[in-house]
Amino acid sequence: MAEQMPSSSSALRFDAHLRPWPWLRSFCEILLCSVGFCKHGRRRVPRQHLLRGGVEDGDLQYGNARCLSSYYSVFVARLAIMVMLAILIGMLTILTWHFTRVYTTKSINSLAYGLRYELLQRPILRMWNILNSTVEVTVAQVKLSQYVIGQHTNPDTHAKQAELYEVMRDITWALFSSRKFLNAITISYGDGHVQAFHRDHKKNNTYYMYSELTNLQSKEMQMVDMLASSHFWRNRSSAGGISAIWYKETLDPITGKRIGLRRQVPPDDIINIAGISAIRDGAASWHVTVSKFTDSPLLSAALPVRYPIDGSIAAVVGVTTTFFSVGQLMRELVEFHSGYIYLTSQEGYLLATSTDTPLLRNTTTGPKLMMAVDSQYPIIRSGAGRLQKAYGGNLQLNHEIHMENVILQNQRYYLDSFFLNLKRLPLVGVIIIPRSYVMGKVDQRSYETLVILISASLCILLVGCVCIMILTSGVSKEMKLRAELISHLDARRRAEASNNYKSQFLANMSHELRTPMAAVIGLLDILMCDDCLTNEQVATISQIHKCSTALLRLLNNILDLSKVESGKLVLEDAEFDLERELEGLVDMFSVQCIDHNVEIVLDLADDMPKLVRGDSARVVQIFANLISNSIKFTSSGHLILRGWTGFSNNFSCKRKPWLDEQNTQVSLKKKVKQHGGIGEGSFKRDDQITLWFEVDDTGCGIIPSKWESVFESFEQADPSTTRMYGGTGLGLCIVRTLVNKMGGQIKVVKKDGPGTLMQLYLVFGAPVELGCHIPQKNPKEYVQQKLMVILALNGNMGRITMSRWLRGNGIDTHEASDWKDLMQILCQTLEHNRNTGIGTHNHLGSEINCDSCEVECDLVRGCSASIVTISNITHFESQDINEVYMGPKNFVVVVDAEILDQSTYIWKEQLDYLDKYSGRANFAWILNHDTSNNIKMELRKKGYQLMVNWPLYKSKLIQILETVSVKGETGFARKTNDRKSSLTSEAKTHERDEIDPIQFDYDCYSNSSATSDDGICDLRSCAHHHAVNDAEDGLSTLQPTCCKGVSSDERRISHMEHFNAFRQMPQSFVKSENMNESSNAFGKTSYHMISCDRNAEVDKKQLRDSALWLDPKWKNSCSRENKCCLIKSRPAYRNNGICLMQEYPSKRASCSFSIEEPHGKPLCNSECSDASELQVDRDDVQPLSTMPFDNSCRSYANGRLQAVPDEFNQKDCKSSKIVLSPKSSLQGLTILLAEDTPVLQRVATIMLEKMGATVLAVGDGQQAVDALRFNSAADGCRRCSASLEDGKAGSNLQLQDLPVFDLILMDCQMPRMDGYEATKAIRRYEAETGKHIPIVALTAHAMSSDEAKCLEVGMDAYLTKPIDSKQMVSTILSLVGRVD
Amino acid sequence: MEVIQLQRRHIEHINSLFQEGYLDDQFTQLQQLQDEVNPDFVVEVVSLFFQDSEKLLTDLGRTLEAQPVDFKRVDACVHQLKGSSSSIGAQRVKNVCIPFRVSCEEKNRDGCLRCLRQVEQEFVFIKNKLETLFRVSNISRLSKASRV
Repeated sequence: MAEQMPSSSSALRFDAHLRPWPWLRSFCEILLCSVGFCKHGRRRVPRQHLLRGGVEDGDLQYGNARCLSSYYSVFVARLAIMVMLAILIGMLTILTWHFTRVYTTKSINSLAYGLRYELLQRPILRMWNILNSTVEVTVAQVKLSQYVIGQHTNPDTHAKQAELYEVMRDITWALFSSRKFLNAITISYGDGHVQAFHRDHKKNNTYYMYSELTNLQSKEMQMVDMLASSHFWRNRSSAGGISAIWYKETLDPITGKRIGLRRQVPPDDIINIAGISAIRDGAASWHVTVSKFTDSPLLSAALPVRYPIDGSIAAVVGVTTTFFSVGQLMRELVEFHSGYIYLTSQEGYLLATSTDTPLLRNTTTGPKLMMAVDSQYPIIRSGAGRLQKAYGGNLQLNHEIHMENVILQNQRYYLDSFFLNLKRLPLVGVIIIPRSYVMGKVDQRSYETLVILISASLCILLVGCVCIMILTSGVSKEMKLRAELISHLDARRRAEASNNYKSQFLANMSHELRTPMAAVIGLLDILMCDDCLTNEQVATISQIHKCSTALLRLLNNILDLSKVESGKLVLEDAEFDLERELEGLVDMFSVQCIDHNVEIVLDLADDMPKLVRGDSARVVQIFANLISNSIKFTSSGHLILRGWTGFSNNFSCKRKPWLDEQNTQVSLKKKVKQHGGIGEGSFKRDDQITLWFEVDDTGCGIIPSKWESVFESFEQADPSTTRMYGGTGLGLCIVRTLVNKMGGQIKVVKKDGPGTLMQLYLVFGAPVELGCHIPQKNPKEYVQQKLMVILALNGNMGRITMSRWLRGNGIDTHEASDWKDLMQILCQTLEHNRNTGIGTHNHLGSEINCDSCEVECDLVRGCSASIVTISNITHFESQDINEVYMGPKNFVVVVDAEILDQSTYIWKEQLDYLDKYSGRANFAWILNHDTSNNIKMELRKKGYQLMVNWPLYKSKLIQILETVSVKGETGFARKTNDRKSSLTSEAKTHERDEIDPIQFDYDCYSNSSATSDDGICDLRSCAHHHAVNDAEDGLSTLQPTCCKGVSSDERRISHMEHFNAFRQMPQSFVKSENMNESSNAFGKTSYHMISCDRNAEVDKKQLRDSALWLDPKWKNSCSRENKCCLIKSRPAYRNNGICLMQEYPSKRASCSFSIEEPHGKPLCNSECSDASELQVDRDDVQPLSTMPFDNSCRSYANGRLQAVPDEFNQKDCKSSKIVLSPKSSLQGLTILLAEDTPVLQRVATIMLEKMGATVLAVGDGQQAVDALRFNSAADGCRRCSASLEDGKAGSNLQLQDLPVFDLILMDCQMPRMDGYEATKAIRRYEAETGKHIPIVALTAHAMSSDEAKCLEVGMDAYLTKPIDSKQMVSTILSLVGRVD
Repeated sequence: MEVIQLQRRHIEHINSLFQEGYLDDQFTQLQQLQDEVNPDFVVEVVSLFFQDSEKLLTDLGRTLEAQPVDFKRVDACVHQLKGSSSSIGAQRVKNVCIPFRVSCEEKNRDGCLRCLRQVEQEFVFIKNKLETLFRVSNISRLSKASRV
C-alpha cells in the first residue's frame, strides 16, 4: 500500500486540478483500499481505469461509478462480517473467561471460607478447652478443698492446722501437676494463709509459694489467714500483704519435692492471688489478667471454698492459665496456612496472636493488655482498624464480618471475624489470610486466561478477517469479473454494431460501386458490338472491358475478403478454363510489366487440363496477388508463371533444363519431401487434380528467415518495404489462406540467383465431362505442315520458353534476340529455301544469291551500299513473288516490335526490309501498349495482318500457327486486287491506328475524283497542297519529273506545275539545293523501276498513288541520312495505295505550314510535322481562317501574297471550315468588339477567334462607330478612311481590309463614348442607310434595369461579364441567323 | 521525371488556387482558349490584367487621396477592375470590388480606402500566385520542349 500511495496520489494530483470529481472518487477508492486491506493488483486495475476514465468518454466513467458502488457494497458487507466476527469472538472470550473465573472463584471462596472458619475455630476451641479445663480444675480444687477443710474443722491446734495445710498442699499439687497448662493454683484461706503453685514457663521452673502469717504463727497459718481474712479484711489483707512474708520454694516439676531452699519473695514478685474479692457472687468467675511473669495475658478463675457446715467461705481457690498455648496453636496454624490470626476480647484487647509480637504493654503500673488496634504488627493493626471501621465502634454480639478483598499493606487479604460468645468472656477471633494464598493461582490464572483468550481471539479475529478477505475478495473478484464481462459484452455489442455498420457500409458501397460498374460493362458490351469501331478502339474497349470486369470482381471480393479472414469463405465449384484465366491475368499484368521493364512469361505445361473445377475468381486472385507482388519487387529481369500437373517428376525435369539441373532436382526432392503426405500416387485422383505452380521473379528476394512469415498478416519481409513499395502485407496472407482453402500449400523455395521462387500447388476438381479434357489444338498438327518458326523476341525468357515448347512439339524453331540475329536467320533460312525453290520455280535470274543478301543486311545496318545492288534487289523484288515462293515450308516469323530500332527512323527501313520477305514468310507482329502508332500504322500499311499483343504465350502462338496454316492452304493473300478488301477487313480486325473518319472521307473523295479523272477544284486544291508541301521540302522539282515519267495523267502534272509558281520560294531553294542531285538520281531510278515494272496495264490510279507516294519520301530526304532514305523509299513502290491516303493529313499539315511560313516560323518545323498527325489536325484549322485578319500577317499579305486573291483564301477557309473543325461555329462571321479593358478585349477576341470568327477590337464607342461607318462605306473609300483613322487608340488597324461586320459586341461602360451612346450613334447612322447590325451589349451590371436600358438604346441582346462562351455563341448565332 | 514533377506541381498549384477561391471557372475558360495559335494566351491576358489593374489601383489611390473625392471616377475604375478581374477569374479581387462599389455609392471615403487596401492585398496575392504558376508552367513547358 505504502509504495502505491505516492504514485497514485501523484497521478491524482495530475488529475486533480482538471476535475475534482474523479479526484474525490479516487480518494474514496484509496480510502476503501486502505480499509479493506486490498491487494495491490486488484486495486490497480480499477484505478487505472479510473484515471483513464478521466480522459476517456463518459461511458467508461459511468461504468466506473457502477464499479465503485459495487466496491462500496462489497466493503460494507466485508466490514459488517468482520464486526460481527469480532463481536462473536469477543463474547466468546468474555464468557469463557467469566465462567472459568467466576465458578472457580466461587468454589474457591466457599472453600476458603470453610478453611478460614476452620482455622479460626481451632484456636477458639483451644481457648474454649482452656477455659473449660481451668474451670474444671478450679471446681475440682474447690471440691477437694471443701472436703479437706470439712475434715479439719476447727483445727484448734496449731498442729492440726499445719496438718490441714499440708494436706491441702498435696491435693493442690496433685491437681496442679496433672494439669500442665495451669499457670498457677492459689488457695488463700480465710486466716490469711496462702498456698500457691506456680509454673514459670519462661524459666521452666515450678515454684511453691506460701505466706507466713505473723511471726507468731507458722507461715502456713499466716497464709491461710491472710487468705481467709481476705474477704473480711480486705484492708488488712492488703495491709497483711505488707505484713505477710512470702516464701518460694522451687519444686521438682514431676515429683513436687522441694529442690531448692525456701526463699523469701519480695512483694513485687508475688503472683496474683485470688482473694475473696475475686468472688463477687460466690460463683465461679474468671477474667483476664496479666502478670509480670508471663508476657501473655492470663486467664484466671476463682471459686470460693465453703465450709460444709455453715457455708461460710473457708478459702478462695484461684486458677490461672496462660493463653500461650492458644497463641502457639495459632502460630502453628499460620505457619501451615500463612496469614494471621488473633483473638481479642470483646473490648478489643488482644488475647492471642499468631505473631510473636508482645501482647502486653509495659506501663509503670505493670504490664497491661493491649488493644488490637495498637498491635505492633502492622497487618494486624490495620486489619483491626478495618474491622473497627466496619463495626462502627460498637461491637455487637454475634456480629461476624467476612471481607474478601481487603487491601492491607498493599496486599489483598481475606478478613474474617468470628464471634465466640463465652459467659463473662466473649471473644472475637479474627483471621487474616492473604488472598494470594487462597486465590493467588486463581487470580493469576484468570488473568493469564484472559490474556490468552484475548490474544487467541485476536488471532482468530485476524485469521477470520483474512479468511473473510479471501472469501469476499473471491466474491468481489467474481463481481469485478462479471462487471468486466458486462462491459466487455457491451463493448462487443458496440463493436459488432460498428462492424455491422462497416459491413453494411461495404455492402452499400459495393452495391453503389457495382451498379455503375455494371453499367460501364454493359455499355462496353454494347460498344463492342458496334461495327463502326476501329481495331484500335475495339482493342482498347476490350481492354477496358477486361479491366472493368476485374474491377467488378475486386468489388465483389471486398466482401469476400472479410469472409476469408473469418474463415467463412465458401469456395465456388464450377468448371473454368484455367489456362485462359491465367492468360488473361498475364495480359492484364503485361502493361504493368512493360512499365516496370519486367518480362512476364506464362509457361504452362501441355498436360495441364484445359478445364478444371474450382473457384476461378479465387485462383485468379491468388495469382494476381502473387504476380503483382512479384512485379512490385522486381525492377528488372523477368517474371515467370509456370504451371504443370503434379504427377510426373521427369516431366518437371524435362521442362526446366535451363534451370540449374541440380537445383531442380533438389527442389523436386524438397517438394516430394514437403508434401510427402500427398504422395506421388495421389497427385491425380479420380476426381481431383493437383496442379503445381511456380512464380519465379528476379526481384529483390526474401531472406530465408522470412520465408514463413511473409505469409502472415501485415507482415512484410522488410520494414522498409512499405516505404519503398507500399502495400499492407495482406496480399500473401490472403493468398495462403486461399491456397490452403483449396487444399494446397504455398512456400517460398530456394532459388539460384536473385529473386524469389514461390511454389504452390492447388487441388482442383476434375471436370465432369471427360470430353472437355481433350487438349486444345495440338501444335503437333503443324509439324506435318512443315512449319518453321522464327522467333524474334526481345525478352529472353519468353523466347526460350516458347521455342522450347515449339521444339518439344517438333516444330523447327529458330531464335533471334535482336535485329541482327533475325536478319541472319532470315537470310539463311529463307534464302536457302528460295534457292531450293528456284529449282522448281525457275523464274528468276540466278545472279541473285546469298551474297546480295549479305549486302542487304549491311545496308540495313546503315552502311552505304551501291544503288545498283539495291536496284538489283528491287528488281528481284518486283517479281510476282506470291506465286513463286510457295516453298515446302511454311515460314512463320514472329517479330517483336521491340526489336525494331525505334530511336530513329531506322525502324522504317527495317520494316521495309522485312517487307520483302513478306511474300515468303508469314510475319506475326507482337506489339505492346506503348508501341508507337507510327509503327503500328506502318505495319498495317504494309498489310501485316497477324498482330498480337505482348506477351506471347502458348495459345497466342497456336493461334498464329493456326492462322498461318489456314493461310498456307489458301495461299498468300497479298495480291493487289485484294488490297481494298484487306483494308476494310483490317479496319475491323487488325488496324492499329485510329484513322480520322474525315480522312477516310477525303480518301474516298480523292479516289473517286481520281478515277473519274476530273480536274475539279477540290482535287486541285488537294494537289495544291501536295505541291505546297513539296515546295517546302525543296524537292518539288523532282516530283513533276517523276510524275511526268510515270504518269499519263497530264492534268495532274499541270496542277503541280501550276503550284510550282508560288512554291518557288528562295528559302526553299536554298535549303533544297544540296539535295537536288541525289534526289534527282533517285527520282530517275524510281522512274526507271516503275517504268520497268509497271507496264501499261497498271491503272492510272495506282500510278498516281505511286507518284503521290513519293511525297513523304521526299520529305524524309530532308533528314540527315540521305542514303538511308533512298533505300527506304524503295519498297514503297510495292506498297499499296492505302498508305498514300493515310499520308494525306500530313500533306495537309505541310500545306498549312507552308502558308504559315510567312509568320516567321522556321521551315524545319515541317520536317517533323508528319510525325504527329494530331498536331497537324489542330494546326490546319485556325490559321487558314484567321490569316487574312491577323495583324502580324498583314504585312506579309501586303507584300508577298497580294497576288493571291482574297476570294480564294476565303473560299479555302470556308471549305476547310466545313471539313475540318466542328468547333468553328462562328466561322465566317466578322465581329466588331468594342471593349476598353485590355484584358477583356483580349479574352473576348480569342474566344471569338476560337470559334472561327473574325474579330476587330476597338477601345471605345467612338472607334466602334467610326469603324462601322467606314466599313459600310464603299470599298474605294477604304484606303483613305484608313489614313483618317490611323493612329487611333494605338491600334494600327487597317480598315480597308475590314469585311462587312456581322455583329457588334459592345461594352456598356467605356471611356470617351460609352456603349449606350455608341449604340445610339450607330442606330442613328443606320437610319440613314436602312441597315440593322445586331449589337450585343456586354456589361458587368447584372441588373434588369441595365438590360432594359440596353434594349432601350437599340441593342439586340445582352451578355453579362465574365463572358460565358457558350452563351455568347448561342446569342451571336441567334442574332446572326436572324439577320441571315 | 522533372517534367512530370513540374507538371504535377503546376496542376497542384492551379488546384490550390481554385480551392482557396483565388480563381474561378473563368480562368479555366481562359486556359481552354489557349492553344497552339495563342500558346501564351493566358500569360498574355493575365499580364494585361496586371498592368491594367496596377494602373487602375494607382489611379484609385490617387483619386481617393484627392479632395474632394471624385466618386464617379472611382466607381468607373472599380467597375473596370471588377470587369477585368472577373474576366480572368480572379474571384477574390472581384468579390472585394463589390463592397468597394457599395461604399463608393455611399460616398464613404473610409470604406473606399479600406476596400482599396483589400483590393490591393488581394491583387498582390493573386499576382504572386499567378506569377509562380506561370514560372512553373514555363519551366515545365521548356523542359518538355527540350525533351521533344
